[in-house]
Amino acid sequence: MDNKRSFKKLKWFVSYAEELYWLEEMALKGWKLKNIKLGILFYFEPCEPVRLLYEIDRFNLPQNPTLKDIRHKDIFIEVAQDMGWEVVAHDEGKNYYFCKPYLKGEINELYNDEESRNHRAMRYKELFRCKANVLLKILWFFSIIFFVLYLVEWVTGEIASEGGQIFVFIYIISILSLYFFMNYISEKYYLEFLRMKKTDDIAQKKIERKLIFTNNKLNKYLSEMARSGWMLEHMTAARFFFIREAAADYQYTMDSKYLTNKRSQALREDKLKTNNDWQLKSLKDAESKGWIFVCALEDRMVIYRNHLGERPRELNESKYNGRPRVVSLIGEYIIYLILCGLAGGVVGFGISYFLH
Amino acid sequence: MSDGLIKKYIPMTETTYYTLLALIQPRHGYAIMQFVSRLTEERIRLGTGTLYSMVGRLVEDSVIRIISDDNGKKTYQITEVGLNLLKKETNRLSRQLENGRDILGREESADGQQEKL
Repeated sequence: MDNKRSFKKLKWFVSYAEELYWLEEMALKGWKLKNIKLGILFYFEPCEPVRLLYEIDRFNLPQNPTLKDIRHKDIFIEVAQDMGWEVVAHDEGKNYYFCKPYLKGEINELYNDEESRNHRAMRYKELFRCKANVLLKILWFFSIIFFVLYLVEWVTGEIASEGGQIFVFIYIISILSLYFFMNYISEKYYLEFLRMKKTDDIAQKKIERKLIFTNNKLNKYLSEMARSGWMLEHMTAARFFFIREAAADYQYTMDSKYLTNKRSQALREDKLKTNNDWQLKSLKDAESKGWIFVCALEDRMVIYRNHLGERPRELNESKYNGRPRVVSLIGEYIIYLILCGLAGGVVGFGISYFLH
Repeated sequence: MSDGLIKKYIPMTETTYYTLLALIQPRHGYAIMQFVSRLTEERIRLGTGTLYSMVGRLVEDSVIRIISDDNGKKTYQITEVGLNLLKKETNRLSRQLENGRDILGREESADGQQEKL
């Protein structure tokens, strides 16, 4: 341990999973967490490089805690210590950071059953949802005040300074973004805590951001990833989530409602009778042609891949492979965007018409 | 015993059942986990978070209580209420088991007779 001294590091995470993972990596390098301040300032002290496990929990809901809630923290922390977890830090967000050396075959997670894992995930979800709701109320309050002020100015004919107007605009936009951010992370943390499961090997996952519009490019990208050992697990419109597996040669293809309908038309079948449930039909078609399901993107797109070592038949005619599939990717949101744009246009036009 | 408590704890989750069994005798947190692991031959292994949220809830509902607290090492034991709940649940389970054995046993003997024919 020579030449090693305690140090602090400023780091900001929007993901508890990444934060804990980083702490575990630091321990492998010989740095143990000593304290956390403001949730972003990490204090480390030197230690033997070992695999340490870090866990995080909070014992209060954001609502006003009851006497029992506060008293029972004592029980929680004590049981945790009894089971070998050390409380290393307790930050201002009321998060407790627990730490324990990794032991193969032991219970290496704080929560090892579905039900209680779900409880913890809900605690974090609730916390940020409540914060978001308070922000929304504050936003309403200020908006109304600003609106009244604006009306007064309008009636009295005194025009507010431009600086003031810009301030109000930026202020409202900032609170609104913060509100959306809180909502976003409440959902994100919920999913993170649900999936948080320590395996005997350090989990190997990877996220890549990419916008791909055609089936050809999608196939090319995903099969290249598969050849280097990354298998698609699930995806969103612009992000691909991979897990590490043995490298293999896979082909991928996508299917959508549009393509499924096109197939039916080509076979001179009636257009899907149950118009909304194209997925069932798509799955049937794909499986009969030698594809297996990988993942689906909401109800807009399904991704398939072949059985290893087998050559599947083309799911759709090759003429569709190069065509951009913007609608399957962005879906109904494009309609919302257009509608919002229209509303903005109409209101803007109306106001300018009345003013002049 | 209040109806609310009965509704909340019966039917009981397996982990709660075994925790209450463990607390027939005074035990502290780690000892509960060990007892349950041993009794179920490692089938049920209580994780830390699972255990503390359950113990907290049980204390809150006075199903168990803290009987000693020296140097921050608390020992818990089942209360009268808890014992009643445990008996009620055991009764329920044994009736359930009876029904299961009854019907499965009948099926098996019917199968056996068909094979004989």
